[in-house]
Amino acid sequence: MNRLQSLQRTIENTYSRHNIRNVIRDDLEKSNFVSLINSSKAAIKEYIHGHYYKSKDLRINTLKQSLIIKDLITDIMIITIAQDSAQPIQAAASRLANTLNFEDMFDGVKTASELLAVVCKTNMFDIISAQQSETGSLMIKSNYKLSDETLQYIESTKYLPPMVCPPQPLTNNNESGYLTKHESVILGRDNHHEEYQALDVLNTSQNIALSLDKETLEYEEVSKKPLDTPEKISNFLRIVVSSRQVYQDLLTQGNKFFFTWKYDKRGRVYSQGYHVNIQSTSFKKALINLNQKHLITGA
Amino acid sequence: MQTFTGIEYIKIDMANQYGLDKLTWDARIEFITTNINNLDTLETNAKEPILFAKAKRAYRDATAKHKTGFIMGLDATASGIQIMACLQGCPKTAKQVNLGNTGAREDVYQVVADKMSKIVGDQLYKEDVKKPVMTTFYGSKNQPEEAFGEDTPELEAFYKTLSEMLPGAMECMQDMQKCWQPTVLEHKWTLPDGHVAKVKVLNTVDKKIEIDELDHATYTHRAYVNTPAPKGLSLAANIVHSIDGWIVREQVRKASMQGFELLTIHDSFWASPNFMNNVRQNYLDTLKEIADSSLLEDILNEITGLKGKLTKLSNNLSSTMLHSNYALS
Repeated sequence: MNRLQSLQRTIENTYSRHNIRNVIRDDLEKSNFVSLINSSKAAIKEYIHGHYYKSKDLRINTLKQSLIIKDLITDIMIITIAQDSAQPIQAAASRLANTLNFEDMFDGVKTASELLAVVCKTNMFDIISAQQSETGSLMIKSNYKLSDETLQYIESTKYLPPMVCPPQPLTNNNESGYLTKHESVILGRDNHHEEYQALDVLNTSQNIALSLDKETLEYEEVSKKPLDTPEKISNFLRIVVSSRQVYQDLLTQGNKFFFTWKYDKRGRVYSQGYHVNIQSTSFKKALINLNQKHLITGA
Repeated sequence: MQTFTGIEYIKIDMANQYGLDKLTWDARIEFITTNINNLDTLETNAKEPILFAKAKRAYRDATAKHKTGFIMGLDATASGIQIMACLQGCPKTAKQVNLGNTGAREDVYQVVADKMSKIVGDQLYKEDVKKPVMTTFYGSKNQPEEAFGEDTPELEAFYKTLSEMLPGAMECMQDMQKCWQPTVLEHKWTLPDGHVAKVKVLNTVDKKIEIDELDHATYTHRAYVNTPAPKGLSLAANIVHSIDGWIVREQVRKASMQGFELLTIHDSFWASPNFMNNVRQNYLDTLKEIADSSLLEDILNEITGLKGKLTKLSNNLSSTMLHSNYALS
């Protein structure tokens, strides 16, 4: 493995979900959430050992089959405490349901909603009734807050930056180009299939070496949407800060990088990435140069 | 097809970023040449100042004989309608979306607005018609109704204008929509390079969730479930997008064979200015291939499982596209 591949592996590990969970868990432990975690554990145990009507007993049996209560509490904390503002219960329940492995999505969402209601009694977060909420629907609002450093870290690691070494050649529909990440070449959770996808074009595109345009970095990145609330301003600033960090890292690493590309279900092609991506705002488009320079001809 | 030097393409890019992408190539180059000593002033008034500034720096690098990694983009002029014109072999549609050579840089949305204005006797602007036109060709009936009202003279004028000016595109869209399969879980078809497009049929299902542990509070959860649907409006958009995906793949392959690097944003093609003649010619060649092919018939037969024959409006559209100048602009 050469130096750039080794660096790339380090970057991918830093951005991995496992690592992010550990950082959040560390922050939660530092914040002395032990009693909150213990009372959540007790509430969940009481819930899963209860006896209800037949279909609910069945759902809870399904839940118990793969349940690790400690992980479940971490997931609930990530979903609720790591949010800066109130969120609809639908959103929180959907995210939690994704971790519960139910075959029927409505069973998953219903069970997740019940779990949220159970843990709410520990005062980790409030569930605001539809009558009392500004949106007219059930909302969840955390009573705790992660540190600003951790919130910035979560923002910074949401999306992998472009690769600093040439991506791995794609040979089947379950590869990404990244060294440690295997995922479908087709975007969208349920769109993967094994029929022929034109990997030759993804391989050609991902081999184009690119550079940041340093002069464009002197311009200010502005929001396309109006920043009319303090939350929107702080969210946008976090994105700008994390983007600037990615730009700085790419420059330090030699200012040569590669996009990975994916198809949608129809075969439209999308460059991957959030902080650096040509399929983005004018500012981000202007940031992209070819690494290979040309003398422009003519008069 | 008119060709230009790399430096002329930088001027074209500057003019585009300034907001003059609807002018002829010559007028765009002339505008920048005339203002070559005022580029800093132009930058402050540009529609896209950051991209203008970047092109300005590339111009200065080029004239100073410094190498640059600068790339510029040219966009298809209504790619969906261009594709439909070629699939159906329709010279009338092709002419409106710069696949003929009228000598001008056509703007289909402006032409629709002008024609509708004449019919209804009231001034309509391209901003009024752009979204309804685009969404009509992706199968929407709601959007034009939202824009012009239900059963209004404006709506009637809108459809009359589209049928007269873009008849092949209208026919193409209707042919595609008719192929919706009411009993399938997915529609599947193959593009000319063997790439398979597979689109699941998803239906919206709303279900009330009652939370016993929250005093039986309820909320509605919306999910998308993969079940057959008797009707659907998404087939035209999905087929056209699958074809624009194939067009992109062809451009990447051609660029690679010709030894230059191409980045794509769907129907926008980005490369060093030195290669923009290739970019434009390659794009036009691929559209000509579509015009000479039976691609629509092949795709619709695969979706329906039938062996139907689709008669195109003409079989020689590609010959009238030889000198198209603004397919990308």
